[in-house]
Amino acid sequence: MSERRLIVFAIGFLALSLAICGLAVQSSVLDVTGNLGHRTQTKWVLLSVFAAGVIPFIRHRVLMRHSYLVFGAVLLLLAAVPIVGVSRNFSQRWLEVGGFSLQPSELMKIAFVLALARLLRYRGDFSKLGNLIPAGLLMALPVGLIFRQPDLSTAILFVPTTLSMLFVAGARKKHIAMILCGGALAAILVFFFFLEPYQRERVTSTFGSGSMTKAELEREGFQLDQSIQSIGIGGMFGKGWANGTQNRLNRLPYRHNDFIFAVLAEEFGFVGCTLLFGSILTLLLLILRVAYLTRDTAGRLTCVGLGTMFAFQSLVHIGVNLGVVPTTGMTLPFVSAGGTSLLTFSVAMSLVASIVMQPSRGFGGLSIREQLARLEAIVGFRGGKANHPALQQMRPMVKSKPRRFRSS
Amino acid sequence: MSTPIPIRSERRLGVVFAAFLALFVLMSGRLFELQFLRSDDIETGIAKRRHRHQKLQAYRGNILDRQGRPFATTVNRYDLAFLPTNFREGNRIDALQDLLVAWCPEVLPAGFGEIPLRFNGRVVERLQRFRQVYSLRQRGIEQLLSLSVSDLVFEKPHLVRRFEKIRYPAGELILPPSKLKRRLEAALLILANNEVCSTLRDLRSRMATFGTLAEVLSVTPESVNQGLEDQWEKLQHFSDQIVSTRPGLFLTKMFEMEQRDLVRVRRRVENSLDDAICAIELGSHDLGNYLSKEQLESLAAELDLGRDKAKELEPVLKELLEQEAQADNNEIATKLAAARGILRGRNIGSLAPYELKSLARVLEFWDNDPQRLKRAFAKRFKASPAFVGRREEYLKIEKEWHRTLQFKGGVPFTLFRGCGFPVAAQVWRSFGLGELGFEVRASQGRSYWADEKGVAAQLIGRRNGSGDPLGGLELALSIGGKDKGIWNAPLLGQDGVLRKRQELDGRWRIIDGGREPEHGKDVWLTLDREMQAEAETLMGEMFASLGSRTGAACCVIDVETGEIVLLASAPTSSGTDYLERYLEEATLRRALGAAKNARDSGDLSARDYFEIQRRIREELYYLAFFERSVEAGTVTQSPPGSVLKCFAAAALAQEGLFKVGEIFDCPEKGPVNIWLALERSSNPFFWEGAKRLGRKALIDWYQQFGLFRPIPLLTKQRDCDARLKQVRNDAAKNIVIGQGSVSLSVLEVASMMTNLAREGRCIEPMIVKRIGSVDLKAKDQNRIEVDRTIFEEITQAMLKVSGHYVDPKKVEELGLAGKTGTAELGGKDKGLYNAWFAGFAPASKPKYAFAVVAERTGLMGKTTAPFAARLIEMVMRLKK
Repeated sequence: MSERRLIVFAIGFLALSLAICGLAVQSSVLDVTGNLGHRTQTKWVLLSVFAAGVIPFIRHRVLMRHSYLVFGAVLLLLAAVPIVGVSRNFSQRWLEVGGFSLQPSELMKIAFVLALARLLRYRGDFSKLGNLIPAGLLMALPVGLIFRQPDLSTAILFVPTTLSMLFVAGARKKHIAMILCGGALAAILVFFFFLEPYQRERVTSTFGSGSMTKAELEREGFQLDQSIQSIGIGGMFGKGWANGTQNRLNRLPYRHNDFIFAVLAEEFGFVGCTLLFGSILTLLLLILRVAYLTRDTAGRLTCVGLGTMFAFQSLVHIGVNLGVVPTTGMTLPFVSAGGTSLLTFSVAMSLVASIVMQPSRGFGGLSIREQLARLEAIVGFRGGKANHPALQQMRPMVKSKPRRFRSS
Repeated sequence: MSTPIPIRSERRLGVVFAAFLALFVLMSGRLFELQFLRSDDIETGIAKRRHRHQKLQAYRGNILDRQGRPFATTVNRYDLAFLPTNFREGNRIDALQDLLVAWCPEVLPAGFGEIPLRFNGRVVERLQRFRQVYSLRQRGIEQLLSLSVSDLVFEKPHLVRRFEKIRYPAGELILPPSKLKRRLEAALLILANNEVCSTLRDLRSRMATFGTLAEVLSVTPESVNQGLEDQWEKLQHFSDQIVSTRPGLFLTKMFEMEQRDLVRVRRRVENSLDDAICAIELGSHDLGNYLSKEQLESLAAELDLGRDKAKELEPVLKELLEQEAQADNNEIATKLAAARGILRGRNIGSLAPYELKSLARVLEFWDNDPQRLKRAFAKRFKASPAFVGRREEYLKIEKEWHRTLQFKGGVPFTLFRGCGFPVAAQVWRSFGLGELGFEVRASQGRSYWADEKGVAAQLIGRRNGSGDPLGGLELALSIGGKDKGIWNAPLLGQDGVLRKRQELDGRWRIIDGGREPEHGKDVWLTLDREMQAEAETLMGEMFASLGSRTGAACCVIDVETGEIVLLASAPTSSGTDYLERYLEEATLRRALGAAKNARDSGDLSARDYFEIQRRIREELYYLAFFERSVEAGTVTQSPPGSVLKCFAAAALAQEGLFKVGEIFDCPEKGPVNIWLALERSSNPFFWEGAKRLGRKALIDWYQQFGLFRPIPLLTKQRDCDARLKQVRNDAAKNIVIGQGSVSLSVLEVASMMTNLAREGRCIEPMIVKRIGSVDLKAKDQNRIEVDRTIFEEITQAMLKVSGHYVDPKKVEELGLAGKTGTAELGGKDKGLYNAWFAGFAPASKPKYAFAVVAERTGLMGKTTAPFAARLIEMVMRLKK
């Protein structure tokens, strides 16, 4: 078996393992009405497997060609949320379509990565900080809309994704550092002027619980406290499946999605958690390996974006559960209940698989047009030999020269 | 110009991975800390939360009469309450409810007609379930009615087994077997309808004669079922109206109701605050009764009510015009004529402010509505700086209300309050309220015998809505006394503890280490319920016929045993009256306290304070229920007058200050010796005696007979000491004839008479005969060194006194030895008397000592003698 096939198999196996692990944990969580919530999740798993099986048949470059269109469409959906969206738990994040709830912000994760990959694909000059502005603007649109829902955690997710894609695309370290500093300053401003009071209290309950009154702790630190207790009681091997006290006694709210790691830690202990960490890191490693192997710039950036999105979301979920990140509603990819999230990450993984599986065409796996563009660029650098034999040989192969790569 | 992007950025990919790896390592560290380093603490905390200690409320003991018939009994009350915190939590008492509903044989007390129509639910299903429960209950009644007498012995193993099933079945509703037994007993008595048999003993004795319960009650299962059918029809009628609704709608409605309740309670909070302000600042929250018409008008003028209020005056005028058109009423016509004189054809809106004020006064617009005045006064006061400074004081009530409202993040909502168990349980079961978060919550209530008649209500006391005892024996027996062995709150008992642990299925299971409640003991009084009722009727007659201003009271003590046979007073109060009167008096007292505080803080001038004090005291003084309603004539003190001469005569004779043959020339009664002076109640003789004896010796002698000696549960040491202190400063001339600062209750006079009848072998009167299973005996006290002949002479003199005022035949028949007492009252009561008659009977071998008083009457003591004779006759008749 070739390495590429092995990677595809490993990604599929790990993603499916995580999803099954999620189903197992959810089946031990009785929902508030006493029904078993994992039945719905099973349907979503089947749907996701189907979707993940279909996506690799769509060529990545086709997706890339239509990435702006997809981005625009999802952006429209996001814009429609404040108008026709459904409110739950004081947030307006969902659209009701044919009896299904759809969360456009989840779809935006993929659409954004594709669009940004396309934007960065040919933008090689990162010598000036101003050249990063288009990427910033692309990020600002969805982030602004998602922030208004309000869904701070998902909005924040786009920032490290953008940064990592820029970093891999070749942005200067100095600029990245400046952005990070600016981001920190902006975070402080946002904390004091734009956050809702409950969001501020969540942050303070994580980092400043010592100064909170008992009533404040009971109100805002309740989930956090319960989550920490659930994890702490797990020990080395956990209490066993469906034997977690905190879980069965309904002490931990939202444990089927936002706090599923705590349930897992309680019932499967340190060993279970380490396996989960290992799976997530292995999956990330495989995704980055695909990025390493591929010669398609857009594919590489897509992989980096999706990998970052996956790993960072996992990290935030675990951090929230462990009490090192302010409490926020972030699902654990593949494991938490939530159909759209599962579907999104399944599609993401299948996109990675499609990238690794796409046929190598021409030099270095690049298309003729890409090879031409690169060659023109290289030649241009070396003294502008426009009539280089290699170029003359290649030009007739390309029907029309893309305008944007017109050489000076 | 676009620049080529670096194709080979593998190193940067590595950096990305390394960053995430580092972060995951950090997370692992935190995980390790929680799961290994802090796991013990966390586990302990969680284990602690899985355990719960539940208080098992001890059953408050009953107060019974000497025959064991109840004066006050504890009953269970049930609320159907919804607690927001329990919302969505399954309630696990289904099984228990099923059993109890099936077995509890009480016929539905209130009927389902009372269920509000706004009540909704998945009614069709619920009704089906109700039908099942209902049929089960029918079967239960049939079984119950077929019980034979042997089944009524609850210790029988098969009955115990039957009830064991429902002992703590789901760990939620706690029903120890003793409680179930009581419930079954109560149910049997309800079936017996309190007429056929009033006690379980009666029931059993009848059942021994007859066969089954059905025979005793002359009912058949069919007739009981017919009653149930009627209830069923009512329920169906109710269900027809709600059958088409949905559970969601029910919840919506319920929260709407909760909102309305909240608004209502807020309004009550506001009103309470206004009341408090008026009570403290003006002396009473009931301005309509508290302030005179002039004061109301002046207050209204002060508050500027009516000024610039043309719109408010218009409807008043319009209403008067309508009334004038409808009926010929001089008063209205006069008012309108005056109003027309002010208006002179103009609109109200065009009147000058002073004219508006005059018009308002003419239309009696100001003083017609004290509520409006109250609100206006409170509003003005709230805006004043005085309120800001003393806000805490005024907001106390408001805070208390809000505390009750805030029950852990939600407002508790009670659908039914204080209903019987069957209604609570059936509604709960039938409409699936458990699934909606409703709970059946048990609480203890208190049932008083003959509530409407109010027999012994003052003596027994009451418990208020919160279960706190208010006055009387309810309070005295709850507080206990110095002698902890006997009086240490016998009614209260000791609460038990139930320890529970929550299992993984969410159920709470009972674990070892709990403690059963130690129920309060039943207290048997020395009183007889029927005798007490008759005595109160008699006192009522006396109160009415002697024209007493405040009341009449009597006390009879068994001379041999020291038991208080009856302690009655008039006017008596019904259960409802009692609380009202109690609160009325409390309000007046609070107003007095507030005025005093205001004077101390300088807000009120001394002159104003004395004026307020005078007014309130006057009101309290003439309040017929003042003290009497609370203390039942036990501490209601009034000068006993010449009644005390019996004891003075004994002292004078024993001390030898008057020789047997010594004649004293009394300016009022002629020449008298000591016994004739007693018979004729010669004041100058006893004044001379007091002079010879001296004040200190006189008080000592009286004290030997029991003056100001506290009586357990009924009089307080502190009160006795205070009165004694007053008497020590009084003149001997007053003391010897029971005037001036000497003030006694009927109980105290009867107690002194008991000691006289016992020829100086003093005994402590007792009101409690038995506590639980322990019989009590009256304590012997001091022995008075007086010659037997002196007692005989006194008895003879008292017999002659009785002969003067009571039918001689009756005196002979009863052996009634008594002494009148007429205490002249001064001050505003000038011309009124406290008319006393006290003594013992039969004279030859005293069995009962008694005292009777009619307070503030225009008649002399002799008028009470015939009533005393009737009283003793009644006691002897009923004792036989």
